[in-house]
Amino acid sequence: MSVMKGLVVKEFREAFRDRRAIMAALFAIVTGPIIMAAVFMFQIEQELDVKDSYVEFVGAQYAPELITFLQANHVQSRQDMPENETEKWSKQEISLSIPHDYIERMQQGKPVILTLKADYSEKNLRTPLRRLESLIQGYSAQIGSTRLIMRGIDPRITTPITMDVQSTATPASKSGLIMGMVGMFIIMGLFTASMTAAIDTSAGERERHSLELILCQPVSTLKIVLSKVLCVSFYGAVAALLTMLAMTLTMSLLPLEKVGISIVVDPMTMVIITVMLLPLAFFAGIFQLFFAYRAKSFKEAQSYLSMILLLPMLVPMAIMFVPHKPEWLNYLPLAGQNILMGDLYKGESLDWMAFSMSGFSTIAISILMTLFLAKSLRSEKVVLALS
Amino acid sequence: MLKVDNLSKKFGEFTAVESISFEAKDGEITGILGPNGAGKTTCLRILYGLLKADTGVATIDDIDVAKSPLLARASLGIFPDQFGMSERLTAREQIEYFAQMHGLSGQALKEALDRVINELEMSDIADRRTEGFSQGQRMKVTLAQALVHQPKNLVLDEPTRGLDVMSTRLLRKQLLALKDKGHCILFSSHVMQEVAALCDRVIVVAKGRVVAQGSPQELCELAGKEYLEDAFVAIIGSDEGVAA
Repeated sequence: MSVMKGLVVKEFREAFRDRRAIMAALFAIVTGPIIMAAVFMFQIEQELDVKDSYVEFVGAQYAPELITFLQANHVQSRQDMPENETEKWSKQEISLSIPHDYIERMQQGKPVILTLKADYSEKNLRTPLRRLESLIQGYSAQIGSTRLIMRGIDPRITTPITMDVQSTATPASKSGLIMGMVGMFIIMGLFTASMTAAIDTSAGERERHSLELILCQPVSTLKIVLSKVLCVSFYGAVAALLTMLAMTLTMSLLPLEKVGISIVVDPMTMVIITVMLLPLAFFAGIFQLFFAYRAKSFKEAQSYLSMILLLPMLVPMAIMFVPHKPEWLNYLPLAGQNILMGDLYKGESLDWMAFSMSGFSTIAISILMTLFLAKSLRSEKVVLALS
Repeated sequence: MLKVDNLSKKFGEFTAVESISFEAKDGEITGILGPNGAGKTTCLRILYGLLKADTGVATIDDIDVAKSPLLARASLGIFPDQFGMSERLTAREQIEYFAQMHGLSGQALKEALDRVINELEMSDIADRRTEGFSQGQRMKVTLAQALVHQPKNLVLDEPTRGLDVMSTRLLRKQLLALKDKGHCILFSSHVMQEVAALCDRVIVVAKGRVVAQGSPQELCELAGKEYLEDAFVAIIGSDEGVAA
């Protein structure tokens, strides 16, 4: 027992004096919440205020009432464009042409053709164009209905079918995609934070010519691996918990309810997420150590692990795009935790089956890898690669 | 006591070590002398239990290394050819780490650390981080971590490489003191003066075989040369007759 304690103390001393590893961990903790906050802020701003769009009205004098109607609905004439908007709209021209016989044709009950000219491939114009179209359609329908009523006809005759759309989306479920991102950021934080520590204690130790002497001591390689996993996992777990707290805090500060998203994070949820993250920290630790030990130098290990770092990004991404998820996806390491975290942040109740199964599979795989790594450190191949 | 008997080791087609047998007795300093690539490192790695021999046995105090490596290593101190430093640890912490791997703890650990730090005259550097240590200071740390658990057997792999006179003398003094206390010391080297001055017995290894063994004096007589260096060259150069 005292042997194990000695090994662990040494690992912690080294890891927590490693400025490079600590910087990496801090970076991982801070980036997630910042990106998240930026994305949300932008989205909230976009959704909240309907901005004025500016349209070149050709022949405005022929249809003053239509123009007044549009202006009341945030479609302004380009002539009234304020100075600070000029740059933004200079490349995004919309022009609406009104024919000179507008009034005449209206009075005769003949159709009038308005011409809307704009670059329809321009992404930024999509919203103003859609709004303008529906405004004019609405205006046209209103006139049409009035004409029918004047002729003593019920205007509903022209709309035999009306759709009653009932969205079952709740403010909580609307947040699904975004909450999936929160889980991804937490898992990413876990991996990036423990990466440098994992490399330093494995490939770094080999590079410093310490590994061979350590392998010659009367200590089983399993104990050596365990002490390292414990330290690296601790690094990752602390970083993941801090990321989670920072994320939760960031989101509670943002006015998310204004975009119809609600996030429920009570202390119990945080405890459950913490319990879920611990096996995952073990997994991230052993997974990275396992591959870092395959490398001869710090740099080589870095290039291996940066590929592994893609895993926590790709797995959740892949899950997002699987339309009907098979049940067993919920039980895999990384995937399971990510789905569960998304659900929890959405305020759904915990799927205990998936919770325990994903925890179990994560721990089982990690234990297997630990044993395998301990065994491989006893192999001649590793010893021969030392010099 | 360290003993290897009829060791052979092949890496694919290449024979690194072939039927090597020798013994390093307690209270003696035994030198392994051999050119680069003679199989010294492979031989030592088999003795540490890192590599498995194809034939033969290596024992440390009569414990078979291949069968119970952890038990055998308990009475072994190793001074490797490269001084690996954990640069974020102080010298004392690093020695402590190795002492703990040998099962020392509590008061015994503290006493062992103080003892070895005093003996190697390194109390001035003991609580500094090893980053930026000179070669001599690194040697002291490395020697301290090999000796902290007072092993009965000590193996040194080219210990004087890159050391200045002062460090070499300190090392030599330590080895002679250990020998007088009845420890078994095995050390590999290229440096003839070192071997001639220190060793009671010399084992000459070339091309994976033991080509001669005996005291430095006996080797000179065997080769008919006045100096050990000439004897060494003569022995490994013409293994005919000598090896027999």
